[in-house]
Amino acid sequence: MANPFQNLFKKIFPHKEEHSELRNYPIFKTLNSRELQFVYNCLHHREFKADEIIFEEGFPLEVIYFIESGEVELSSKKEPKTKLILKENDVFGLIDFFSGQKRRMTAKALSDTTLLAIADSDFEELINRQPSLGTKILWSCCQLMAKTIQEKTQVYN
Amino acid sequence: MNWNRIIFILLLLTLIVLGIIFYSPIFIYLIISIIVSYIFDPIVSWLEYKGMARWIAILCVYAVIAGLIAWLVITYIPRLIEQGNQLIKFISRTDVPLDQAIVQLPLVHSIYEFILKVDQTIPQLNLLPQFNQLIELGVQKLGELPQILLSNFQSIISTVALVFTIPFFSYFLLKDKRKIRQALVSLAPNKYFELTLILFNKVDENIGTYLRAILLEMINVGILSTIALTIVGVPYSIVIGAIAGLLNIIPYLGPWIGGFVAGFVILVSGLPPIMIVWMAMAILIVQFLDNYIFYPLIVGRTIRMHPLVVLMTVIAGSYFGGVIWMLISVPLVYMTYSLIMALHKNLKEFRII
Repeated sequence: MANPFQNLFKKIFPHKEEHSELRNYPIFKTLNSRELQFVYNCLHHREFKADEIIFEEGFPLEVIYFIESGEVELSSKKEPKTKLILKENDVFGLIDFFSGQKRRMTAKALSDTTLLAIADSDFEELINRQPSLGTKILWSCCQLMAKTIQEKTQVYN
Repeated sequence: MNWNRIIFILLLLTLIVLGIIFYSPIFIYLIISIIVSYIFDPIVSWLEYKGMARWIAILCVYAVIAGLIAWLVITYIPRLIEQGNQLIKFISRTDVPLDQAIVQLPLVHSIYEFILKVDQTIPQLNLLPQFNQLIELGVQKLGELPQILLSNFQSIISTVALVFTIPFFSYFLLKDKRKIRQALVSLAPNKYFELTLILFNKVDENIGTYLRAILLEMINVGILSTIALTIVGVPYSIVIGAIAGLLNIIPYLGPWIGGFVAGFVILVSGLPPIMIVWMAMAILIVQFLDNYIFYPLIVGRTIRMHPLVVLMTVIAGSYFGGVIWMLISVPLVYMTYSLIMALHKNLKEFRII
């Protein structure tokens, strides 16, 4: 049963959580609203038309993207067989962020796409400057990668 | 190319030009505010990460700075003014003409006698009139000094007025730093988005570190020089220390110029010339401490610029706009240089050039 005082309090101070839509991305799932604000401050909104190239293979790795809406295709000239199609709430550039200096794939927007972008230096600063936020993000990254590895091994088995 | 696009771009350009003309009087305020915001940004960000709202963090920093400035004004400025006044009084005293006063100084007098002797032994040389001319020129420049201060009284007043608007400007620059950056980056077309973002971050970081380094260096060298000169017993040590700190913006040359100023003051105030040696040693020790102990501690990495480039920059700056440009030209050239380097590297990596 709801406390009438609590209801009154909620009416006087309506608490609207900002940027909670960021929780749709697995790596920001566990953040609280204050930490989401920090993340949001570093994000940039970008809109890409269908068939527009987002980045090319061999470019320096500086930005991580989150797909807000639309579809993105990742492909590589070296291995023409591997093609990845990413959808809403997926992230790309994250694995490259941990592994290397160059883009290993070319990203192309398949339909009209909205992306959220964060520079890797900002991302690093976010993790380094705020240990609790950093731990949460890194923990989520590990979970994400563990999940991917599991899926891959199941396919090959 | 369609015409609508061209017309739109032309309109936009006209608007930008008009905007620049309209806002040009406050450019200098804006630039100073940007510098101030760069200097305070790390502290504010640190407080923000510790859990303080950004605007409260800024106000806290402002309060601390205001307190510091008030303390400095109360303790330091009266002595600075007193010493400056003494110096000006010496220059502009009327009982003895200044060129005679200078010739009566022990060292100058001995040089004068030496030249007299040389002239007597080698009659064709005529060194003495030239020496006299040199002294007259020096006296003329010195005599202009108080006048320069007085005639710039108005601009000094407007500088004081400026001090009160800058905190407002930099408050908003500090508070909305991220929003301003997001807005600026959002102007870039998709093709250049990553490039713009990286350049922004790199240039931002470079300028920030450099400005903070300069400021800390200035304060550090100023205080150290004042202490060292006071120990040695050079008069007007606070004024000279402040000048030495300010001149330290110019790498390599700044300390030398500061040393010359101090040496000149020693000569003028009629102290034994051996003081110059002690003063030079004091300044050397300060520079040594600064270069090998404090600078690596405070800044961490050195900013490399070839001495020749520094020399050329300073001379060109002095031709361009006097003492102020001499001081700003080196930081300006360094920042342009680092911007071009970052731009070149990234343009190449993104295969645009």
